[in-house]
Amino acid sequence: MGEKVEQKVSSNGRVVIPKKWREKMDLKDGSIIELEYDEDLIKLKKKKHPFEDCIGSLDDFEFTEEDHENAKKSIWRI
Amino acid sequence: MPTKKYAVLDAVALFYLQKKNPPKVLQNLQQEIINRRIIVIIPTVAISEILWKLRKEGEKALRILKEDYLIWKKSNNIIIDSFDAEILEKMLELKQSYELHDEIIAMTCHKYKTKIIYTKDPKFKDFWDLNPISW
Repeated sequence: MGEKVEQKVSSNGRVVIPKKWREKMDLKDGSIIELEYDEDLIKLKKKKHPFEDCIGSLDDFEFTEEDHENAKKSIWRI
Repeated sequence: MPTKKYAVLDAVALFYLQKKNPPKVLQNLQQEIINRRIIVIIPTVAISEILWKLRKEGEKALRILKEDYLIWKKSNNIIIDSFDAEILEKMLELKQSYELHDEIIAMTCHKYKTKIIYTKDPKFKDFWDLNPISW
C-alpha cells in the first residue's frame, strides 16, 4: 500500500502534489502529467518525453571534433 | 508563464546529447528537454554531418540515427530546421565571408532570435557574438 494524503480541492479543481512525491517522480515546473479517470479513482502519471528513448542510443559510437571537420569538408568540399 | 528559451545545437552537441552519460552541461540539457523547459533547434546540416559519420559505422548505426530522427521529429520542443530562404536572406546581410557551415548555424540562431548555441567551437562567440555553451 502506498502513501496517502488528504487534500482540499480548490474551486477550480486544483490540488497540490506533495513536494516529496514531486521529487520522487522528478516532477518539475513544466513537466507534463497524464490523468486517467476510472470510476472513483484518478491516476496521475508523469508523461514520458519521446526524447527519453534517444538517451543512450549512440553510446556505442563516437563523433570527434576531427570527424566533425571531415563531415563539414564532405558537405562543402572545402 | 515564463517565455521558453531557444537553443541551437551543432552536430557534436547533438551527437553527445544522445549519450547516456554525456558531459554535465549536456546532462542538464537532456533534463531541460525532458521537462520541456527549452526548445532546441537542430539544423538539418548538423544531422547530415552525423549521418556522414554513422553511415561509415554500418547498418546498425544508420538504423539508430533514423529512429532518433523520428523521435526528434515528433517531440514538440525539438525543431528540425532546414537551410531555407530566411537563413539565406540573413546571410546576404553579412559583409564578410565565413565558413559556410558556420554561417548557416549562426544564422539559424538569428532566425530563432537566440544567442544560445551548444557547441565546442569558440568561433560562434568571436564572430557572431553568440553565447556558446561548451563542455
